[in-house]
Amino acid sequence: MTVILRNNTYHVQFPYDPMMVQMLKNNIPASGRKWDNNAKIWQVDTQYESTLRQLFPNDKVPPVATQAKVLIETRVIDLRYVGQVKDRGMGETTAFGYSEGQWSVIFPEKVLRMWFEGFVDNTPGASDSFYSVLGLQKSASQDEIKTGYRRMARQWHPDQCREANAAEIFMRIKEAYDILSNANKKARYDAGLMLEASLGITPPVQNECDNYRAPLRCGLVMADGREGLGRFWVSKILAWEDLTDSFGRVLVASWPLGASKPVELWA
Amino acid sequence: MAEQIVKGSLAQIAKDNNKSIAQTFLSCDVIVIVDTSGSMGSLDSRDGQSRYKVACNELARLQGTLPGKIAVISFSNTVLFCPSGVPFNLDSGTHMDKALDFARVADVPDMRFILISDGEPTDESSALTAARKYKNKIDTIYVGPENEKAGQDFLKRLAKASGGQALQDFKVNALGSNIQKLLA
Repeated sequence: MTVILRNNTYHVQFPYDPMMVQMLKNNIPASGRKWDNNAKIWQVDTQYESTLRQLFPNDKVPPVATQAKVLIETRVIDLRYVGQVKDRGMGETTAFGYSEGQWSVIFPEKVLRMWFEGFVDNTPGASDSFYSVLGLQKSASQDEIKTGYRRMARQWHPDQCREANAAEIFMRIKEAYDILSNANKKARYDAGLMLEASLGITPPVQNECDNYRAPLRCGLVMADGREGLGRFWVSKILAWEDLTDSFGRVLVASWPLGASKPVELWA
Repeated sequence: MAEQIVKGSLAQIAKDNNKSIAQTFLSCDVIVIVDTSGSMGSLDSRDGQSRYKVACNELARLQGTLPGKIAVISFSNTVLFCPSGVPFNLDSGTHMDKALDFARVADVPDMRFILISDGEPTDESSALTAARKYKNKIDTIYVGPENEKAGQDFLKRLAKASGGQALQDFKVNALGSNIQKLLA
C-alpha cells in the first residue's frame, strides 16, 4: 500500500483486493475518488485526508499543506450533456456533465438552481414552477419568457429530443408558456405562487424520486470552478449559451432509453 | 391528526390532478376571507353550534358546489391561507387590515373578494385603508348578532370603500346562499 501526494491529489495504490476496494468506495464518495486505469491507482481528493488515515492507519498518508490554495479558475466548457442531480454522499446533490468525451464536470444542484432559478430552494416541488420549466427567474420579462420558451421548445421537441420523457416535458413547456405569456393568467399564477409560498412548504405533488434536472442539457458554459481528480467542480455558472454550428443550427442532446451515451442532433 | 381537506378545495383539486396549489389557483375566482377570531366561537348559530362551525360547514358545501373556484383565507391575530378549505386558528384579535394586505397578492383581474366577519376589526382605519388599495371590489357579509350595529356599519363602510356590496347573515344563518347571491 502506498499513498503519495501529487498535484494536490492523493494517489493510492494497493494490490487488488475486493474488500479493500469496497471499503474505499464505502468511505469516499464517487465524486471524491477516481480510478486511473492506466496507472492502476485510485486518485482521491485531498479533502479525504483524514478518511485515508482512518482507512489505512498503518500507512503513511502525507499531510496536505495547510496553506494549500484552492485555485478558482474560469473555464468555457463545451458541455454535451448534464444528467440528473443525485446524492453522491457529498453532503450536497450533484450532477455530472459530459464534456470532451468524459464525465469531467461536476455541477452541484445549488449552482444549477442559482443559474436557472435565481435562488436555491430545496422545498419539494419548487423546481416544478412554470418559470423553472422555461429556465427563467420569476422576474422574467415578456421578452425573456418568449426567448426562454423558444429555447426550451427546441431543446425538448419530441421530434428532436429523444429523452424518454421529452413529449411530457414539451407539453409542460407549452403549458408554461401559455400561462406566462398571458398577462392575466400570469398575474393569477404569480398570486398562487405567493399564496403557496406563505404555507412555508410545498405540497408534495411531485414524485419523491424526481431529482432536480437542469432544464438545459447541453451548451457552451462559462463557469468558475476548481480542478480536482481530473474533473472540474463548478462553483458558479457565468453564462450558458446554446451550442451552434456554422449553419446556425442548435445542438440538442438527449439520452434515449437503453443508449450507452447521449445522442446529439443539430436542429 | 391528519388535516381535513374539504372536497372541492384547492388542496383537494391539486392533489387529484397532481398539480401545485399555484397551478390550481389559476382557475380560482373567489377569495373568501373569514374572521376566525374568538367571537366566532360563540354558540349562537344553527342548532346551538358556533358561528365558526356553521361557517366552516357552509364553506365546505360551497366548495363542493364550486370545485377549485374558492380560496379560503382566515384571520384573527394571524392571517393564514387555507388551501384545504377549512379556515383555522381561532384566536383573539380581528386583524382585518393584515388579512386584506395579505390577500391583496390575489387582487388580479376578475377576482372576487368576500370578507366574512362578526364584528369590528382591531384597527378600523387600517382596514379601510387596506380595502381602498384594492382594484377589485370587496363584498362583505356580517355574521354577528342583529343588535351589534357597530360591526354591521363597519362592514358596510368597508364594502363601500372598495365599491362592493354588504350583506347581513346574522349568526351565520344562510352563509352559503348569501355567498352565492353575491357571486350571481
